[in-house]
Amino acid sequence: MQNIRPNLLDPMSLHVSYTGSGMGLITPPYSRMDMNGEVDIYDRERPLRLEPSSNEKTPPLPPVATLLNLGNTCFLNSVLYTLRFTPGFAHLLHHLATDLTEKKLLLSNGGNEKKMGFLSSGSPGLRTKSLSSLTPCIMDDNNLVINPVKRKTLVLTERLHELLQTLHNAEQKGDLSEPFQADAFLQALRDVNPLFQGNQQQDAHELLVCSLDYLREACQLVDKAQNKSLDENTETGVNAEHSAELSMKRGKQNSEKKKKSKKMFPDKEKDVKKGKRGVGNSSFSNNPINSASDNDQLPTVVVEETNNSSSETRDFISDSFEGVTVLRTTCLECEYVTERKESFMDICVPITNDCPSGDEPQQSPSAFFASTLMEVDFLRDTNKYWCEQCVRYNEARRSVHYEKLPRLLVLQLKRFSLSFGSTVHTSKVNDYMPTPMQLDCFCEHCQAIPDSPIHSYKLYAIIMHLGATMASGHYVAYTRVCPSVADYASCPRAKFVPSSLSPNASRTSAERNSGNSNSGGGILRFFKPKSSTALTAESNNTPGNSTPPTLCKSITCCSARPRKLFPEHTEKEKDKESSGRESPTSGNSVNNTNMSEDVWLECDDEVIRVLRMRELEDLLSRKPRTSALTPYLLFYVQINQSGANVK
Amino acid sequence: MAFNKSNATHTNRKKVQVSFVIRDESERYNRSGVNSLQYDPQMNRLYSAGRDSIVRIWNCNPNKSSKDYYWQSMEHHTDWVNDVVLCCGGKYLISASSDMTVKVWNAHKGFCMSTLRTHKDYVKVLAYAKDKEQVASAGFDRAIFLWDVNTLTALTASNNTVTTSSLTGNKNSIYSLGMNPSGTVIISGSTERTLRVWDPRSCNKLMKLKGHTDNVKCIVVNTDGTQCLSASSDGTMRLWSLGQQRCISTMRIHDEGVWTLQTNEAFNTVLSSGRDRRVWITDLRNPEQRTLLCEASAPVLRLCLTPDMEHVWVATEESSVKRYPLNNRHLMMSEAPASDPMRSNNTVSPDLTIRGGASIRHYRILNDKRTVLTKDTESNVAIYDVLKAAKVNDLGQVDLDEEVKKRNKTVYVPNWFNVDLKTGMLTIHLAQDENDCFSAWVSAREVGLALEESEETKVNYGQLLLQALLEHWPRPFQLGDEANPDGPEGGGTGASSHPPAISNGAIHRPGNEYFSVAPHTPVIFSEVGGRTLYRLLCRDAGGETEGTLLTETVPTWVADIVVNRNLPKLIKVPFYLLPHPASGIKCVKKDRLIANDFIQIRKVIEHVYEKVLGVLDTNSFGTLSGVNASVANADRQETSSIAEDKVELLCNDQILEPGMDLRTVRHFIWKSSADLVLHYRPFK
Repeated sequence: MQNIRPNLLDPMSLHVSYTGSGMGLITPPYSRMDMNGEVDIYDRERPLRLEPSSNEKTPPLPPVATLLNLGNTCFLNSVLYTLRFTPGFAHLLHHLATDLTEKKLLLSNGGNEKKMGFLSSGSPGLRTKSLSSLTPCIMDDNNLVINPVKRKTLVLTERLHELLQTLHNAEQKGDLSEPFQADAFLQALRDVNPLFQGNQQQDAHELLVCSLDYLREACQLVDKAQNKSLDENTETGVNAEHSAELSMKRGKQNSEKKKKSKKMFPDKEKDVKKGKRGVGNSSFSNNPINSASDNDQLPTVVVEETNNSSSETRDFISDSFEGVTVLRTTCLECEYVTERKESFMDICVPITNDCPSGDEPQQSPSAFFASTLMEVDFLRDTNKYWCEQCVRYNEARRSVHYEKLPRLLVLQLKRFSLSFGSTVHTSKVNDYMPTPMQLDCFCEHCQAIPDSPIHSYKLYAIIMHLGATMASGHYVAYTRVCPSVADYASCPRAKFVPSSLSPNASRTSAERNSGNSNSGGGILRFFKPKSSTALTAESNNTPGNSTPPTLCKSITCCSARPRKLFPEHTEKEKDKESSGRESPTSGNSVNNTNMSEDVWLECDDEVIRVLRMRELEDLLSRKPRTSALTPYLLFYVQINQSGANVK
Repeated sequence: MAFNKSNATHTNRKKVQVSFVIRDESERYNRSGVNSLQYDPQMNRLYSAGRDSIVRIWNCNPNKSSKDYYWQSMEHHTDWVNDVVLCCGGKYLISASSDMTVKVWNAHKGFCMSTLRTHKDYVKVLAYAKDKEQVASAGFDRAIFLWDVNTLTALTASNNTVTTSSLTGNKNSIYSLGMNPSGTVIISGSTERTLRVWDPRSCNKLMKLKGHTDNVKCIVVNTDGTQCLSASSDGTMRLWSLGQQRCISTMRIHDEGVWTLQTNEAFNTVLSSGRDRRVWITDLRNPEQRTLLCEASAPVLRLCLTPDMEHVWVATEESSVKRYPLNNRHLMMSEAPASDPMRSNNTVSPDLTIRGGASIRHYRILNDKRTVLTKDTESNVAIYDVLKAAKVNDLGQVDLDEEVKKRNKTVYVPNWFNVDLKTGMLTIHLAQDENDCFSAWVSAREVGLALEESEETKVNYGQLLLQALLEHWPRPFQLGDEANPDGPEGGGTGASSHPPAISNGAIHRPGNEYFSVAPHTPVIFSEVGGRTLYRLLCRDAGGETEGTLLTETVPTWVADIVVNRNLPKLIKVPFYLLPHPASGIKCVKKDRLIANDFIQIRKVIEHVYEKVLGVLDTNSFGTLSGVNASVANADRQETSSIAEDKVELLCNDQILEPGMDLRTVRHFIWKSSADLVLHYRPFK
């Protein structure tokens, strides 16, 4: 396979950023201060990426497992890197994947998964086989019929989990010399969505949206299965009267759910002016899967949560990524206000080049984004508003508000604009947009109390785009290294103690089993939680004992385990840093999380470079650059006042 | 008369749309909300600017005890009249409308003297400097024009140019305008939320006043131009000092947007109202001193104080206009601090009510694309015949949708007009281009236009209506078979003076051969989506100036039909005619046929019987000409009845009624944009 990768950066500008940042990238020999106390073979100097990379004798060992470019797959790799470092994502995905296995929605294809990622296992023959072997075991016993398209999304989910697992294992073992291939995931993706077939460059945003969509579908299927099994339990265990009552309740919920799901994929509404500021839902409604999802409500399946234990929804994608916008239109004549609510998975930010210049005092980037996202526009001139009260066209003011903002906020900068000429093509807008490291929450609730917003958003990843068009460019992901231990702390599932015949119990035990098998028996022995202040006490526990109830075991399965990045940091600094970010439970709130101490990774396919905050800021700064590397997707995680990630 | 600066080239620039209003000849009641009021104390008359496009003059002390205050209507606008000002001591009235024009009226005689077409969007507001007889107009095109009233009133058809100074700089649509009587300062309010101040004498910008957080809907300037008061959609009133360029006080009296203000001459008392319907009287020197005068039944659009401060007129979004008495208690409140001014319950009742009529709020177009059912603000349902531009029946307070269901038939006729209710009356816009406007071909007999004798005649709705609307226009008449020089002169007397004379099949009268529309019907030519070019009454088209203007305005595709009497294009439907699988007939080849969309299934059956099944002719297999030929042959009833006994046609496995036409089959049974497929099946 061809590894096509354009030059990441103009060498000159790279050089500038390099000298500016000092020698931080030169890693001194490995010291025993390693966080995990594992055997660490990473004791060489990291060569500068600046040096011509022509066949070095000893390739640098990256800080995390890398992904090989399979030929125009940087769009895929950048999204995968981002998802991997998305706070909480791996953890939640893990539970979804184990649920799939445990609900027998998918046959766990045991040994296959560990080799996954290497070329050998990526051969199409093997995969087709494993796919076909899935068919008979799809819920035959439970009468849960899953249509083939949906089944593919389950495969996709599992492939993603396997990939994260592989990367995790490699990082555990320190086996990082070879980049991995995400070919199994890519194949699964192509099976689901033919759009990604062929070795074409794709839109990373489109991929992200699709992937999240498929994962959500998988979540919903697990919910179905959960109910199915619950259903059986109630019907066998409880008398008929009760179950009738239950099913009545379920019917009610079901209708509610239907309503909700309708809202998730708003139909193209009659309102013509609606498209003016598409808030990211267009890519959903165009999705071929959605059209299929209309007929998935098969009569044999009962699709609703019936009791509390299961009503805590498994749909972590919606929980984490979905927000609600309110579009408010006021007729300027009669001042009647109409509202329309829509859910979104990402927000499309128009590129406005009138940003910090002008007579107004300089806005902070955060305020600039908020005002851009909540821009008020007027329907006037030839685009007047049909007011039903006045029965005529009047001027109107239209404003966008955010009723709910998700925990994980994805902003898509509208860099690509469709132009309709003789042929439809996209052109790129290269105008500068500031990239705020921190974003004040701009949901309606927080807007009401502007002086003390309850939470704000912290940047955790950027996908940058390089090049002039969507089809020919290159994607690079920048991710903040945020230790993932906190994500695994106080996991509701880990706490659960098997005590009854309830399905949750069996799930937990299955989880445990699968967790053990996944970790291959050997990994767990080496595992110790990271040396954060919050968890040092816990690390005293030997792995043989059950891990502390607050820490979900899945951390040993598929979490991102970056290697030590800046060993020249003093231990003190590191402690401060980690306590600030990792230990919301300890109550040791660090309000002044020093941004400059954040460490970032530049994930450019198989090349990963460690960046300090300063270097990143330099990269994002406004100064004229010859490079066309522009931020395209911005990923934010909600943090509360103490600076800890919101769960 | 009613025009000036008419632009002879406008016909070629934009698409022209033809519209008309179905209404009574005399509309004595406001049919919708009233946007503005002016009171003439000398004549004791009230002028109301209606959303129904009509400025009405009301006589406030009628001699009779009939309580009929209606005096006269001033009709020439075609959209909401947004503002009116009386000038020159009540002799002239200037009006601003959403039809993008400003009009000058002789207020005493009630006719339109000239029309100013400088604005490019709705004209929203006027301001008047009494001492200088100067009027300013502004609107959504962000421009402010200053007019000298004496120049405006002196305009004639030959002397038809007027110079105006314009004030520029506004970035947003202007919703309010204020000028002091001496015309030394003019202030505009807009969605920009700032007040912009100019000196109208030099047209220089003076300042911007910032503070409101929403649209500014009303501005009043005091006599010497040192202070102004503004009302905003943000719910506040603000008093500004122009000398200090700052806001002196902010008054939060209303719960919702404040839309209208009236101050006394001394500028120390203000009456205000707006969306919350409440009329408050506030002492400007001490805003805590205020009285609730009354609460109207709808959002208040305009207040109008009588000069003697005895009464205030209140206009709302409802069609009635009410007068409330003011007394000393209200105006002298600062001297006698009421015990509880905030919640004084002694609101007053109106002492005079000018009753308004109902406005049409909802409509349904029936399937026949001719009958329209409407429902008004009083829940009365009425039936209109669009083709004849007339109301057919009043059904009273019945369920609109029930009535529609009752009356809808399974027939499909293409759309050829749109309905517009913005004025509260039924305005019909004919479809904008000829293809749509002339899309509705129907059988004259079936729609009840012709009786037995011309059974097969097809007529086109758009064509008939256009011919009727313009039947008094001399051009088509002169070009008719029989030039009648007296005809156009009798324009005012109505269509009935031309008895339809059909002999030898030739048309001997203008218009169409079936019907005329009511002669008072207003006909409107406007640019698509905006500016009105010309409005006239149907009967006035015979006048000399009207005829000339029509010649300039009428789009060529209309003239083609009305003047040259060309037939509109026929609409063709392509379809396939195949043997039904059950018939056992083998299909030799699959031919695509084309026929007029109003062809009845009966004709196709005939064609199948004669041509396809080869009873009469074994040769031709349904070519285009074949179908058309069989269609054109009107007198073959025997054949057709025989054919209907022998063959039946199916579409989507549904047996078709012989009386259905092709487009109805396609719309109701085929339900697809693909070419229609019909199956034939001989009876065994």
